[in-house]
Amino acid sequence: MIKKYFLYAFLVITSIVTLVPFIWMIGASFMFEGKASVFPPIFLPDPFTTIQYKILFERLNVWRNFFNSLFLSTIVTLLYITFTSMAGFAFAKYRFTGKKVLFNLLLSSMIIPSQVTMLPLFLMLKSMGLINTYMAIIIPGLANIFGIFLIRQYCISIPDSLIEAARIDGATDFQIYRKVILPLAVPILVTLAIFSFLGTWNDFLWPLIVLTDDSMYTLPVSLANLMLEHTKDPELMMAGSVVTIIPVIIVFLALQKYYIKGIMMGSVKE
Amino acid sequence: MLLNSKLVKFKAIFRLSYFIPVVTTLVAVAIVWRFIYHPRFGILNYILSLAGIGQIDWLGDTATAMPAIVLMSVWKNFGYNMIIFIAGLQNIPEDLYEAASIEGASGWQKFRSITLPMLAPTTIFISIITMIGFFQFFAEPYIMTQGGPLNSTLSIVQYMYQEGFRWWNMGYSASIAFIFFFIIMLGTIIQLKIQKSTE
Repeated sequence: MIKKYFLYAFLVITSIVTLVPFIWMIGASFMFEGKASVFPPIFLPDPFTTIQYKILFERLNVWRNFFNSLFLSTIVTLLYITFTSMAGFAFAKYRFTGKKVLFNLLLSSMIIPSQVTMLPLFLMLKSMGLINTYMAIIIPGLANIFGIFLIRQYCISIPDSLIEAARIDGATDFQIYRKVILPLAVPILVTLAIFSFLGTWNDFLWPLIVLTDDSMYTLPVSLANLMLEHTKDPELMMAGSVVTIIPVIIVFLALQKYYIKGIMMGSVKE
Repeated sequence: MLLNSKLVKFKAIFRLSYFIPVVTTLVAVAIVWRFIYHPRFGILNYILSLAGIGQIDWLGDTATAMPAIVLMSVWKNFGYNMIIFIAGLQNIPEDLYEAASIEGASGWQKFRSITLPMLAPTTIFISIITMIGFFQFFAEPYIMTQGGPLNSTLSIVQYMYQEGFRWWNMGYSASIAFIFFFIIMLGTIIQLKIQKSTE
């Protein structure tokens, strides 16, 4: 019994520690300027105001950045799912020359951290004239080996007889992919879609490098810029943070089962 | 680790609260923490003041800036590491515990002789992943300290970014990237070696 109370006390305390910053963030975002800079800190806005959000959206035009983030994350996710699922399917179910070599080559590229490839990637995109365009974010996000690998593992477990049956019924290769593989792979696709969406939304370094215009910035980049100008405005910055993380929280809450499953898969299989 | 216990109700709620920091945008979180570390109005200094500890300028002092950023990262990745530990715990076969119970092992003995050794691969995995993660540090120092004070929190990726994309020393920046790559590769190889030897 005592053990149980200890357990609960521990869990409750650690939960509070994880949540306090968020509670303060939300509280401060509804305060008038200067109200959050008090000692001792307060959590409840008094009086309550949405003026910080008004400044953010009307004066600082954060809508534009919000749209950029949403647009890019959605497009990248859709394309990413399309390309990785096709590649994963091909690696799992087709026999072609160089398959093994190609796959191992891709796998070994997993060891290279993304930051290392940023310099050459930047120079390549620059010579194509794509710096400061949406394409600079979209193209590098089209596919990665992590996704191809997971989908391949998943497709291997799909019995060949299903594909053969479809082929006997006269299905083309694309129809097999579309009508047999995709419906069966939905769970893994959802998992990868969440990773891709959150990854693109949360990404900071790459958009910071390739986007150079205020109107092109994604939310995190624009927020970081605001921070440099408004170091003394916690209320405004908190409102910006709330706007940035709300979509992420919504996606997570809606699909958390898939997300957690995905993390476990990554750790067990790697 | 405790979350795997059958004793606990409301598992979902606890799991959720641990997980929100993991998924939220690093830039936003770093901004919030910057104010939490505020020397005069920050929550952390308020809590410390209740214990009679005076104001500390967490991010403005070379001695505390790095620990402060590390603390924030630990807070952020807590949920992620926890989930991986849970996955590891679920892989431990139940009959080991049963056998131990029959031989009269106490709860602590079971933890020490079964849980800990069986979790060793998981622990190593998390250690290496965390280490690699810290080498890739960028947004945290960029937002919270800009690498300062006196470059005490300048990370290797940030250094690469500054040299390459601020001062356009592409060659120098590329050599930083190359060294960085070797460090990460070393970590990954060690990780793979240990994993193979435990399997």
